Amino acid sequence: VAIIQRIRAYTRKQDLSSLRPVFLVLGVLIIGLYVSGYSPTHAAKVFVQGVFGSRTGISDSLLKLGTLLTAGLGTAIAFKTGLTSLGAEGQILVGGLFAAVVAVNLPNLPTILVIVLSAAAAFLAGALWGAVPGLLKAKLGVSEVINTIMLNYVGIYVVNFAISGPFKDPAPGGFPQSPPIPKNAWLPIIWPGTRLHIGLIIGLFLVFAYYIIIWRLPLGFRMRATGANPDAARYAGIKTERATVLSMALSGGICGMAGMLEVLGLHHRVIGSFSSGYGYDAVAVSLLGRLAPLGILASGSFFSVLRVGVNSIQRVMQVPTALVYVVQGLVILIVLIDELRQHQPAHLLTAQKRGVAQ
Amino acid sequence: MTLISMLAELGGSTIRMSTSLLLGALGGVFTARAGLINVGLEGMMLSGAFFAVCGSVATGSALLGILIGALAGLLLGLILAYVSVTVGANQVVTGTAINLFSLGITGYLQFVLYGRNPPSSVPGLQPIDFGLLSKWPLVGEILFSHNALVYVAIALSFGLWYFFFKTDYGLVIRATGEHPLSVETAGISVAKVRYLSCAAAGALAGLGGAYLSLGQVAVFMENLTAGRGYIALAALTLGKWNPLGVIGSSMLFGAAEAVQMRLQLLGLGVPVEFLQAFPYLAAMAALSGLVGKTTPPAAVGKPFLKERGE
Repeated sequence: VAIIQRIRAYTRKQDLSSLRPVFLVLGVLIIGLYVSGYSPTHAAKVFVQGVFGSRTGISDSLLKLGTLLTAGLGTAIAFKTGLTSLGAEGQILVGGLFAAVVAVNLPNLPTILVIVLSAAAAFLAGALWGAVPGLLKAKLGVSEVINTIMLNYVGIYVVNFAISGPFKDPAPGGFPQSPPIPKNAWLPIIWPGTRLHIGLIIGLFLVFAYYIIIWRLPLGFRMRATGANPDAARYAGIKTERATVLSMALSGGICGMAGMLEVLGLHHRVIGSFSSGYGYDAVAVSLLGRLAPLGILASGSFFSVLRVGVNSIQRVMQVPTALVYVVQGLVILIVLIDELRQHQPAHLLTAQKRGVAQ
Repeated sequence: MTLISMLAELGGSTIRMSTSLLLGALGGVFTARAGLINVGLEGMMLSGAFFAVCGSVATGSALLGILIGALAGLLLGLILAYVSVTVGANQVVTGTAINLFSLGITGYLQFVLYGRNPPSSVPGLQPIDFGLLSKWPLVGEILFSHNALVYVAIALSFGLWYFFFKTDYGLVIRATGEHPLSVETAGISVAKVRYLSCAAAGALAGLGGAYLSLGQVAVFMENLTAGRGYIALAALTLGKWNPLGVIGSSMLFGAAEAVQMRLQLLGLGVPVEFLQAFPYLAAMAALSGLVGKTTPPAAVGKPFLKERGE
């Protein structure tokens, strides 16, 4: 009985403390807005209205949740293997681009077939973007931190090249953007009258798949072992190099699919900056979710609501778009501080894998 | 255009391009030697660039602007120190958060302070006139056509080499990066060393940003640094965490940038985007070419928990 009581007390304490960073962030936001001359009460109203006040607000939050879950879970796979991959942004970009190339070139196939083929293309492109730093890490010992960041920039330029060159919309007007995605490749809408598409279902399915892969499959065991202690894993006969490359490829591939969701589900063409920083949110979502399936679901929901709310503040009150990045940065910092001040340093968050230093 | 004048221009612009990288990388030497991964260099440089312009506009003095830029970087360095040293959180994630925050706060304040039209006449840094030396063909344009910060950066590299490898303070910082427990055992606070190193790193990166905005373009645009902080991080690794080594690696990446821009102007029919991606690919190639020849300070990335003695 005493044990049960202790567990209860512990969970209750956690429930309360998990809300603290939210209030802290809101507090900082309110002060910041006030100092720079915007009304915080108005902003609060706009935030709540923007998220919960309309069908669009709710459906947009769920829409972003699908993409954030996909990218966040993809990133989590690399982190679980002890790899600090910051490359989700580039993987999303190339994934979206290649999904669009497939979709535009197959205008007459049935929807389900085009989407599967596009998803495969997105997965492969993202997997390539992840596997390269993985290989360089495994074979040459080059830090994946720098290489994944470098490939983000390469990804930006690959997309810019494609949409202003070989994959440019031939229609007059001259915007650097791809041709529109044919209607047969649009991701089906699951809430009629809104923009919410099957991306949410895919994201939720991936939460389950992530659990199965990481905790129920031998591959996941090898990845976790490599992440927890590469030397011990090697001693136990695990091919850590192979686990590193596979993990980076799988991580990149799933992030690539997040790009497909944005292009086939929302923008319906490739535009310059279609990812708008999802790759960096993905890092935050996966780590604040402590790399756990349900944790990622929770932190993904928090970030998608935050994004929609801050976007509507920015739109309605004419606050500069850059505010979104301020909030993202603050949220990550505050949650990191709060998490670790509250509890024992959870090794997931401090997880400075030996691999990083090698 | 003659070959000589082209060489002169390429050489001069290589040095201009590499100066901000060098200052950023020198900052990185401090954090790496003290045992921290500093992904936040990008944000520290970006904030340095923005606040240098702010300071320069407000005070009318480029020198004060530079100091304010360095101060902005220093403050971000202290945030990195608090979150990753005192709290003990993941340093890479902390750095990423600092970068996002900087990207946001500079863009936001730019709009709040100056509206849609950023100040066009910012008191910037002027090239030093070396008299006859500056008129020396080729060499004059490559070496003697720059503003003071360029020479300060080179002098700092040599000074910091002496500091890190010939003084007791430098030894303490290096020991903190290799084996923090022994430093703590010797009665020196690891946390204190890391705080000071973070502050120095931030100030130097801020200086690098100030060079970009006041020395090179005399204007601030959103995301002005565009990944240069990350390139500085690559230069740090390639330069083997050595203040003299990073002179060479910064020059290499500066040259990649200079050649890339030169080729864009020449219009050889190569797509612009390929040229723009070149410095990043060059950084990857350069790091991969090292094939395990580099070993970072042993404790890099691991938070030091005094209670546990690890």
